[in-house]
Amino acid sequence: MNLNYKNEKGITVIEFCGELDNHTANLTKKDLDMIMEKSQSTNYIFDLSKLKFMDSSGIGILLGRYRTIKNNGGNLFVRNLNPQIDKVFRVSGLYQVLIKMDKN
Amino acid sequence: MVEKNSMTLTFKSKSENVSFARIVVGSFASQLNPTLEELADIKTSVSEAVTNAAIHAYEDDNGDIKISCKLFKKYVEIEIVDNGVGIEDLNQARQPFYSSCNTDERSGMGFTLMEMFSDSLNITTKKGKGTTVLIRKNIKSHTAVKKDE
Repeated sequence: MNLNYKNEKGITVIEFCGELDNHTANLTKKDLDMIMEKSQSTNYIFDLSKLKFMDSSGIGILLGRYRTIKNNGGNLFVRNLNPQIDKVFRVSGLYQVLIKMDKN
Repeated sequence: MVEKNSMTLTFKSKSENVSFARIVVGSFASQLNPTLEELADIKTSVSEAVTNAAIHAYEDDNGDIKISCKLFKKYVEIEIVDNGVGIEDLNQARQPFYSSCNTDERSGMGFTLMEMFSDSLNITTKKGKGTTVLIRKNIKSHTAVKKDE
């Protein structure tokens, strides 16, 4: 799992590349925390267009980051989820807290 | 139901093998011409079950996890077996958001996802002996293709 990040109109966009499962979760968490520490944004967009697969390990990682962002008064947006990941979000209730953006 | 094909695979309880398990089972189940969604459902269920075994069954990553896959005309049956510690309280374990692990950021959604992504889920476990998870996924697309068989 690789992460790329960029600034898009004042919001940090983090792009996930690969698969998010138990094996990649810990490293992903560390990389995410590092990027978020560096960028100091309030709001974040997680772009999942290059994320091929996610299971419940990913849910834990996303919720953890959401808590941090929420505590700083921000929102966490997600975009470009493939059908498998969209289903995981729907079934787990992640859409109750993470905001889905329209496809771009 | 007559079994069309089957396979069995044993590997170590290392987290890097979970991805391998998804690919192998997905590849094998492809013989039934599943839709992309059916295939994704199978891979997700397998990922959850194998991850549970890899994280919880053994103290280290040197335990054995066995996957058996049976193909029937209209469904696939996947069995994930470990001979590790077993689940102390199965009802509790199956509760959404419950995790026996408090150190990592665990969502506790593994069993919930397994249930939602499969057509039937059967778990047998014995403390100190191990756990067997039996997943069944119906492949509806197969019946649309062939009429007389």
